[in-house]
Amino acid sequence: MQEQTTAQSRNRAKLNLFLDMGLVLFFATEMEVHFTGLALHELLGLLFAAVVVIHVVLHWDWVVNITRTFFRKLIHESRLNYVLNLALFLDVVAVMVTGIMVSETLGLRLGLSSARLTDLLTVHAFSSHLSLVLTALHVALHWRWIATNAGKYLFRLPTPNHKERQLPERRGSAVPMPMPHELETLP
Amino acid sequence: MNTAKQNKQRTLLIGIAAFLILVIVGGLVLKVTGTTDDPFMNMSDIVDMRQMLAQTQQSDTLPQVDTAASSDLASPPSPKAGITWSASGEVLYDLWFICATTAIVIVCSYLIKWLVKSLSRKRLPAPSPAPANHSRTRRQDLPVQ
Repeated sequence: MQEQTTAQSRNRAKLNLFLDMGLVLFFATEMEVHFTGLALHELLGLLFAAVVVIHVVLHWDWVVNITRTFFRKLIHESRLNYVLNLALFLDVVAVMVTGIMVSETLGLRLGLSSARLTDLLTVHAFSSHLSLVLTALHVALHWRWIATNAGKYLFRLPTPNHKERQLPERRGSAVPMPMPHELETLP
Repeated sequence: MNTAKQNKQRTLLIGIAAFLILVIVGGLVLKVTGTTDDPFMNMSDIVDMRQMLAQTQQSDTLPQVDTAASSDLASPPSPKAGITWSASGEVLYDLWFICATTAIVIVCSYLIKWLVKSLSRKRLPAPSPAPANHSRTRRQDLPVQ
């Protein structure tokens, strides 16, 4: 049962690592309209939104736990992280909403005036630049987790602590425990 | 157990050093190639986007012209242009910016840790010297019979 839980958490960490790496690459590509062109930029934007939703769903337990304890404990480590993540989430939502509103190639023309379009474009560009800074900080604050899991799953570094922990279990399984009637015969 | 922990710490430090070197080299390469698009100051994307929108509106009314050839960094690409590989430096710059921020945070965290450690060492009273072995000295002081 414990092994199953450990394997599940390992798979989860692996999934999170590769998904987050993909998300960062996706984000960097999506940031540059010059690179993708407008049509691909808008299409990738929709895909990016879907991946962001998956990322949030995978970390939903953390979100719920920290939201519950946010006002209870005066000092806790995750508070800065939580505020930053919330700011990033709101910023990404702003980028997506304004992006959809000004989209030209997705066939969602809302018939907005040119002045309104300019305002929305300004918000879209400003919030996207802000999201780069916030994403950089978001990645930076998780560097220990990234370093640990990249070492495990990306560079396949040996984990000596894990092997040491496994040794007693192996010994225990190899040597069966004596039965109560056998204990009497033991010296 | 202690050596395993030390090994782990050493591996982490080597990894951090490699990462820092990579960030510095990457920054130099980007500077040499001229890809230094400051995300704080550069708001020219808005102008580019406006031009793109205008182009899209034109392309809907006018007959389709092959605009892929004319797209480059100086003028915004056409909506139908697709991927412009010459602009891949900008994507790399964004990735570098994320890595550089991470590097700064790592260095700052280690500096803060070191400062806190050194300050706490100063605050703590100096450990009292080990008590001298009085029994021996007393025995030595005893007159030889």
